Amino acid sequence: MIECYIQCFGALREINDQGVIIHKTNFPCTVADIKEELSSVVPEAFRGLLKVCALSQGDRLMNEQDQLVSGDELSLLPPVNGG
Amino acid sequence: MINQQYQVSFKSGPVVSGDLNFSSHKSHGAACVFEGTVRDINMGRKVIKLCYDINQKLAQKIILDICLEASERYNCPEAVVSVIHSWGELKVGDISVLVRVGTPHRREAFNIAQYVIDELKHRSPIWKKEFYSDGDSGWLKGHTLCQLAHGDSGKEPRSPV
Repeated sequence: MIECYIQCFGALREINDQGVIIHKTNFPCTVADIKEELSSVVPEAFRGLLKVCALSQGDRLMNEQDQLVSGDELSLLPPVNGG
Repeated sequence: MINQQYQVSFKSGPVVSGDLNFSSHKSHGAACVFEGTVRDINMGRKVIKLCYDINQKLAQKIILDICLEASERYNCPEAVVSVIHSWGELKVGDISVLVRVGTPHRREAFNIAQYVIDELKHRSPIWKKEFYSDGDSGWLKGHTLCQLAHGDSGKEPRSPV
């Protein structure tokens, strides 16, 4: 298992003091796998939001079936509302 | 070429018009500037300030993509687009975003500016938290990026919101 640091944004920043989820998983895995795993470790208040979050790696927005081969630069992205 | 033609940047705190970096072209007869400011009321609640959060690396990529799409959609390869968005705390009246579009003719400038700001609001990884006069605060609900990851990126122009 590899430990990865998932940066949280928006409302998910308030998941803890750092706004980061440290999560151990096996790579390769899909985005859907990671979200499923996270749903059992994040506080209950954030589980609904997690379902509608996207995940990015670096500057790439991932879809649920995309395979992750590393935990580098992962971000959890709640629904957006800029401007 | 694209990097000179389309520029996207982010700034801590309020944006001012002098922050916008753009190139003038002698062939451009039109420039359209959209300025987004912090309102004092939202959904009937008195707002005293906002806090923006941005995933800058991803936002840079997505907003550049939006600028390119806009130029293609309105058949204006000469368009020059600059966008700057603030992050961190802003008070009522502060400018949160500026979009400047230069084109040969005015219609394309209006259309591209509207497309860019509408798509930015729906697709760019930017979040805002409102702080209200009664001491309460909250992150605003928004548009999920999950569908965008499946390739649904602005097939039709959106209605302004």
